[in-house]
Amino acid sequence: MTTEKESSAAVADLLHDAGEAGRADAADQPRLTDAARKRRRRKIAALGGIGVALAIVILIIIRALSGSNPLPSIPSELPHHVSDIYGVNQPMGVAVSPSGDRVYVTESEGSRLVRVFDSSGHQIGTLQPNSGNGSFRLPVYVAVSPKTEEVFVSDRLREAIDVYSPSGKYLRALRPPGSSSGKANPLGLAFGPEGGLYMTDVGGSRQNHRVLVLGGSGSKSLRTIGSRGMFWFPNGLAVDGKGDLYVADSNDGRVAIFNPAGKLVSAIARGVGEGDLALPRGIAISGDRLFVVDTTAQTVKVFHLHGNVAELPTYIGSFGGEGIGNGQFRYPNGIAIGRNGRIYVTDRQNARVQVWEY
Amino acid sequence: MPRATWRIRRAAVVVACYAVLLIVGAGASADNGPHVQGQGLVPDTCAVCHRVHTARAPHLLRTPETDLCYTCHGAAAAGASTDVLDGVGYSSAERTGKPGALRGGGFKYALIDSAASSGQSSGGSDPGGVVPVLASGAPVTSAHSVDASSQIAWGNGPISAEANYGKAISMSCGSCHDPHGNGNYRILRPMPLESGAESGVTIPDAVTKVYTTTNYWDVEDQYAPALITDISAWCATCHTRYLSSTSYTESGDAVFTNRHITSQTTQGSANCIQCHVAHGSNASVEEGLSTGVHSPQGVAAGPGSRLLRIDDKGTCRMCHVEE
Repeated sequence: MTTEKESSAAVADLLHDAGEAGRADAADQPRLTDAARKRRRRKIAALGGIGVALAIVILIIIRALSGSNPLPSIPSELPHHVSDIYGVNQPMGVAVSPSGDRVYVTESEGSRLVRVFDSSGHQIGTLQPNSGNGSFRLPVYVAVSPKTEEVFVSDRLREAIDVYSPSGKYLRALRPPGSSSGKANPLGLAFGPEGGLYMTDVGGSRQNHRVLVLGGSGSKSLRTIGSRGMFWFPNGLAVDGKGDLYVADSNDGRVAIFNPAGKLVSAIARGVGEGDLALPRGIAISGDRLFVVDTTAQTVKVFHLHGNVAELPTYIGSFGGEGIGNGQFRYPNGIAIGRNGRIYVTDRQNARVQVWEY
Repeated sequence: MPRATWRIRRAAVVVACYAVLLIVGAGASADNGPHVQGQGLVPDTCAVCHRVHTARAPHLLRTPETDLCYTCHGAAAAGASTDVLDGVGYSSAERTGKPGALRGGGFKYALIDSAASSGQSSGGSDPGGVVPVLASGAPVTSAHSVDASSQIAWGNGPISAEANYGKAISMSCGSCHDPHGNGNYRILRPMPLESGAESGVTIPDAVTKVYTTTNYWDVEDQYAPALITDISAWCATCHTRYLSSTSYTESGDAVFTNRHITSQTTQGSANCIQCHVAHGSNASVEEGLSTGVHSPQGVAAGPGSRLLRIDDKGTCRMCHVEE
């Protein structure tokens, strides 16, 4: 049974909880019994718990709305389409600066410039050699030195690899000798872990097509990869952290894989089955994944790398498909992956660069 | 039938099938059939361009034809030595320190120095007059269409007493070229698609191929004499009434009544490619010079170069020397 004193204490307790107690004189408050104190502690604890829970929920909502995902997620096997970069005419090659804040895109029509975008897709500049009108220059593939951040652009029409400073200043043209005579016809470019510049040379007949490795400054040829007739219009190149080389041997419809010594150890072949290739062009590596742009298949095919170059990469799946909608391609060609994992794919006939991410 | 005999017959059939495939494959790849050379006729190769049940374009192509062709033969030429968009030939054998020029010109740019006086002043069909190749391409002023749009095949059809300028056809790369290879020079189709020709013209392929030139005047091809001999007849599979063996006899046609001789078959003589390029020309023709041109089907005469090699009347002066 509740006594009058206990009833008074309970009322005062409730008033206190409701915020009214603050206005009361502490001296006027009656003494609390043990039971009342326990009830009060339980209420305070309950209210505190509710407050903490509310704070967590609000924090989660705020962070979700701000774009980042604080919750651990199961990694997807394939990326999803995020956005597009427009303002490029028949883009072919793409590269990302080591910091990821600049995206370089070559265009094969119109002004035929190398357009430079920030990571948000806003154009911040263009690159072009000192001479040559629109029809006489033809930038195709682009690579950025991981050490100097200099930008290297292949121009088959001018038989040159044009080099620009990180600030966009034209520095020089590299013109490696051809395999039989004249100058090399450069297409694909990539940097190896040791800083060497890898390039494909498609001058002359297929007997002369090859991969060249140049010194870091590109001043001299260090070695040639591939025997005579091994390649037929090799396009994109990718080198992993161990120095294994992946060559998009385009007209042969395969990706030829070499160990660091330059020995052919395996190949992803042409075919009509799952993971088979048609006309591979651009190629890129991110972690244990290999991305191959299959131009006439209108897709990017994704493979799992096992860490042992002699073991054939396992096909995971592809993304894209033919069309003009979001995430669809019309003759994709080049690919680059930024430090933040963003995947950039040139979508030639749709005149855009697509951005994908996991 | 004894089992051993059955096995022998089955093996013979298999061997015969392989032999047929090899023979067919070799024939297809002998003339630069671009997508089968070195590969043989295997399904994997076909699938690069075709789909049997899910094709999105005519001829069971996975994608529209011209875009597909430009993937290798367009600007950048990432899969070929001929850039037909820019009129550039990359074959190193013909390179002279600057891009080689496709003798057919290009569909967007061409490398013809069409204003070169040295070419215009040469006479008497002397191919020694040099028309240099430009160091960089100039926009074309006329070109055959390759975007599948409808255009008039001028002179198509037989001699007609009633005015008839030709017929509308849809053109793309495959209208004139057979991408699978056919043993013909430059994989030309004996009968271009939609030409309506009743018989085709076969121009045997050359063992040594020359697609570029340093001299646009020099339209000879010592490696493929059949090209010079037969090229006018081939062009006439579409432009039927342009073919003429004389300049002095009226044809009886209401439109193409008097015609320049076009059927000569010796090097440097009057045939179609002596005056015209096949893909596109950057030559300029003053509008005033063509205002009086009989304009088929009411199409206004313009400054278009009609695929001529040289500016203005330079094409005439290549042969007809001014006194």
